[in-house]
Amino acid sequence: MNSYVELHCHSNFSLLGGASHTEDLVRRASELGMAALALTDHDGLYGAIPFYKACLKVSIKPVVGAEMTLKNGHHITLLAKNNRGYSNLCQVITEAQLKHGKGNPALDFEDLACHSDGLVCLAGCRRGEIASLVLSGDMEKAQEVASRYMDIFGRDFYVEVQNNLYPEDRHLCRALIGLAKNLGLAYVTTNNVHYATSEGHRLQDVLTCIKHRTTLDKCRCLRLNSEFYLKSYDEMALLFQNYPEAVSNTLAIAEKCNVSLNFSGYRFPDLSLPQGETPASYLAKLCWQRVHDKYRNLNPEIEARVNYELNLIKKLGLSGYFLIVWDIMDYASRNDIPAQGRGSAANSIVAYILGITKVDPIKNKLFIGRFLNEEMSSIPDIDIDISTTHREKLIQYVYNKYGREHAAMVSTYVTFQARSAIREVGKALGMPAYILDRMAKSVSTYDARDVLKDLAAMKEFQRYLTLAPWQEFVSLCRQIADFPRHLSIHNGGMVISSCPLTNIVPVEKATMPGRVVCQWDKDSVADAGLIKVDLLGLRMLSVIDETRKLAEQNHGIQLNLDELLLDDKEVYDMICRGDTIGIFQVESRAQMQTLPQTKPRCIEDLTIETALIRPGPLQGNMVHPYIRRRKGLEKVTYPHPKLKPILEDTLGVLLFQEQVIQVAVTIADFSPGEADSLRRAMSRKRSSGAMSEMKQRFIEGARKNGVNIEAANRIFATIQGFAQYGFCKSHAAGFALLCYQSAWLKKYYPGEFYCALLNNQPMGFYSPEVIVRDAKRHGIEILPVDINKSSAKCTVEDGKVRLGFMYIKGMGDKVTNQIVAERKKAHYPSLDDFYSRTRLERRLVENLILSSAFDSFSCPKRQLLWQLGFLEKKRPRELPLKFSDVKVSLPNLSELEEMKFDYEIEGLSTKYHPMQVLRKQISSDGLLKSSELKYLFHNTQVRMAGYVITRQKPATAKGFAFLTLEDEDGMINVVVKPGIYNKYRQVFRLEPIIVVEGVIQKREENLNIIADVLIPLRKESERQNTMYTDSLSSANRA
Amino acid sequence: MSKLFQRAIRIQVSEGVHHEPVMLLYRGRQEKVAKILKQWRVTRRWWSKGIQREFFQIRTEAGVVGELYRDLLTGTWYLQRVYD
Repeated sequence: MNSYVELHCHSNFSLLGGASHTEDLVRRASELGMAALALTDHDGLYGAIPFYKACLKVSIKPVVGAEMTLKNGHHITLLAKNNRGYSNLCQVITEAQLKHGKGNPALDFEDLACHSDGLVCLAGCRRGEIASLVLSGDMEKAQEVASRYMDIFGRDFYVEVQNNLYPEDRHLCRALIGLAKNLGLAYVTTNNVHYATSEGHRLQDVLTCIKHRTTLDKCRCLRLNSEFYLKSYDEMALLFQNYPEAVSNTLAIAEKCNVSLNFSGYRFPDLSLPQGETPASYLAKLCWQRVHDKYRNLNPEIEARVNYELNLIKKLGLSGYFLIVWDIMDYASRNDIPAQGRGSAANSIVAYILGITKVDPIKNKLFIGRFLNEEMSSIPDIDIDISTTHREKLIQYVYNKYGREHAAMVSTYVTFQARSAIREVGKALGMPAYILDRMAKSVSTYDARDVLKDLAAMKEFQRYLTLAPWQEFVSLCRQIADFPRHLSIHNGGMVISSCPLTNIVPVEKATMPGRVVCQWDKDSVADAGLIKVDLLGLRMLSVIDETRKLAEQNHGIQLNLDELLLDDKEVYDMICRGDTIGIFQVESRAQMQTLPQTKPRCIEDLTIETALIRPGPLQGNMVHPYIRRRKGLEKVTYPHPKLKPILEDTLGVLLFQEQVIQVAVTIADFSPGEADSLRRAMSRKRSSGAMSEMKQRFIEGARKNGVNIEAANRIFATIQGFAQYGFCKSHAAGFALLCYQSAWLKKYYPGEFYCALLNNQPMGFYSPEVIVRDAKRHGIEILPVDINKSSAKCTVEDGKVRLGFMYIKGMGDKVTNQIVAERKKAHYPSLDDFYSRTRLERRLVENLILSSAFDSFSCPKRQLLWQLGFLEKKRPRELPLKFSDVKVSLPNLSELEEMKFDYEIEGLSTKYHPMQVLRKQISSDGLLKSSELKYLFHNTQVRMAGYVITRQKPATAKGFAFLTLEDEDGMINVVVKPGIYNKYRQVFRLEPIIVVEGVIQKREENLNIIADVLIPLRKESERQNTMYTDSLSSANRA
Repeated sequence: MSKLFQRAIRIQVSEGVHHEPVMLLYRGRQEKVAKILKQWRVTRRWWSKGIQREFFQIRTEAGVVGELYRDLLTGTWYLQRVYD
């Protein structure tokens, strides 16, 4: 039969090796009429699931395999013949990955021999052991090795022959086929595919350079030609015209490979239960035991809800799953680990009673159908937020509880995006580094496909783009878009399984000791039907916990934040002012602008606020109607009177996903499951046929329910327009609680709060320097590092925050511990004493001096640096000698120098604001301070200079961009219209300090500058100098 | 031993169906290709002056062994090397 199947094919999951996406390879194979295609990435099954799905979509048989690296460095190709073979393939990959160093998998021959059942083995490419021996002329040894494989795999061992039109290929093929015939072995051809079409060779060369950190000109390991693409039957038949069997055997092998990646037999492990209990009975028992902890007065509504959910959970077979999550949360609670369930799980009263979530679904009117319903086909995710500092402890608990064979972290791929593509592709092509740096910093798109469009919009780069090498560059950036760059670890996803996980997916070492990671990302895990529990690190939980502990310690109190009454007027007043830096979920520029308008006064308002200011609602035009109604500028109306109870809390505006479900249930008599399917269908792009069918059902249901067709159509259109942007109310309610707690702590324990914020960076919207200045504005003094007072982390001293050594560049744990341990013996009275006791390297002591750590010795910094030079020369235990004759008088550091060193070493300055220092260097002529703007009228023309603390160009803002500038007095928002943005794009994106000219816009309590001109501050000084010299010269001329 | 031409010599070649050399004109003599000993393809330096060549190591009926290539961009043939 005239057919060829490619059995040796690498996708871009052979990281920095393959140059095509799995989907593109499958599409090309389909175009070539291949009946099947194998995927054989290096030492892994990273791409198995997307490959499998893509094959089924175009009715090609997927053959799952891998090209393995043996311990002796040679390659072999393994293909799974059946599910037993697939499981063995996972095993051998895992063995190869776990027994050797991370990133250097190597398969022992013995492990291969133990797990050969169900596998087809091809002898490998020219780096295969047999081919290498043939090339070196050792035919005898080659036959011996082939016999060894034959003993293991029998008729499933094939000699692999490739002709990639390399000089020695014809000879190699002839010799290998001769060897196969001598031993009575079958042989098969493959093409060692690395890209779908021959054009892909360019990108493959670039990937090779990226891998070896070199340029195309310097790289010595590029392939000789572009023959490693998916070839047609005709091309392969011509290359192997003397060996037709080599081609026909590809089909024979594909026919015997039948793997189904359907893991319906997969189950999550059972928790060990007390005698006589089933998961369902034990879950019910736990719930009824604990229900009184949450509800002091049980009423029929609560009882009915608990019973309903317990029955539903039992019916869906999820009791065991709930128990596993409860067990994790119970461990967290017993060990004082701050954690809470997030997402739709908070709709469940069972989750609330068991302590998995913290939001009361009855009080918050949360609808269970969004989380659980009778018709659901997949298992709902329960995601848990955990204090970042404690997360590892919980992860290790899960590993230990279920065993490393049954639990693994989910992986994630760091992929090429616009910036990384520009830098790495450009470097490989040998483009000048400074241009690449400018380009990478200038692009606003994240998608590497849009690099050309983005760069072409900037005058600075237009001339490059007319040149052939740069055209090649942008084309390669487009091609490399979304290619996986390297494997990383998912933020918190863990897969747990009752059967050994390595029967389903290979696992490998993670960078962090003691962790293993499975080779699939979250999408593959979900597509394979595995359950993952997300243990997500949430720094705000760490901040809240740390603030609480510091407050308890410093004020001698006991704080139970879960019992806060959530009604503190002063807390809401602070939020309503937009004074929210550091407060969870409401600290962004957009939130700060909205809060004075929506004025949240209770926790329900905060729930709405958390869900409202997001790209989705903004795009869905929900924000402004809500704000207008909230302010009483627009009448609250409902699409139908029946919807009033559902939409009342959000003033008639659809805001939450739960509301969509409730609308479909109320109006069209959908069951909760059907309504949730409708919501899901609307939130994704589904076929218009399926959608019109659903619409028909909706209209019909509405009609039967007494709603007229016109109204039904209108309601359907409303929910359709909204569904893709909606937010889950239970999730918002959970976040609103943390928002309130963090605001309450900021209000009443600001010193402790800022201290904890500084200890948990990076997090939130703002950098530590902005937090430091916000603290100062709130009257909290931030003290510099002090060699006798600072700890590793920041600390609170009499309501002031003392910076920790962690903020000093180069100070690791080891050095910090050394300083602190030595200090415990006796304080450091001088630099001399400090240096002789610690003997730290010079660079670190310099950093300590420059960051003011020795200021308490009342000796200027330059003088200390001078002293350090002498101390360095002094050997330990040498008798002290006073060099009185070498004392010199050194000038003190200027303000500018001090600030520069502060920023270089600590990334912030406790003493200076950049504007406070730089303002002295420019004339104040016409340049206003942020504090002066509030006294001016709307539409007044102003000029102001500030340090940029945020710059945003949201995709949802129709081309508008936003800056937040800060000077020594405060912050101001700048709105940049699309035309102005295009004109000053580079200033907007790259300059640290900007002078803005524009008009004041005053709305409610918000004050913005609508920019006309943006100038870098350095140019402002130049301009003023020029004006000065110009005026001098014109005066002279006059 | 072989003679590698510093600059490959442009020669005339009659091609077969798959562009393989069948006959070549060398030093004014027509040489029929008796056997293709090796065949390989080179695609390099695509980022500057790209090279795309198909090489053949051949033996002529007169027993001369040589290497020639077809420039895949222009279709012209060159003699690269002649073995003694």
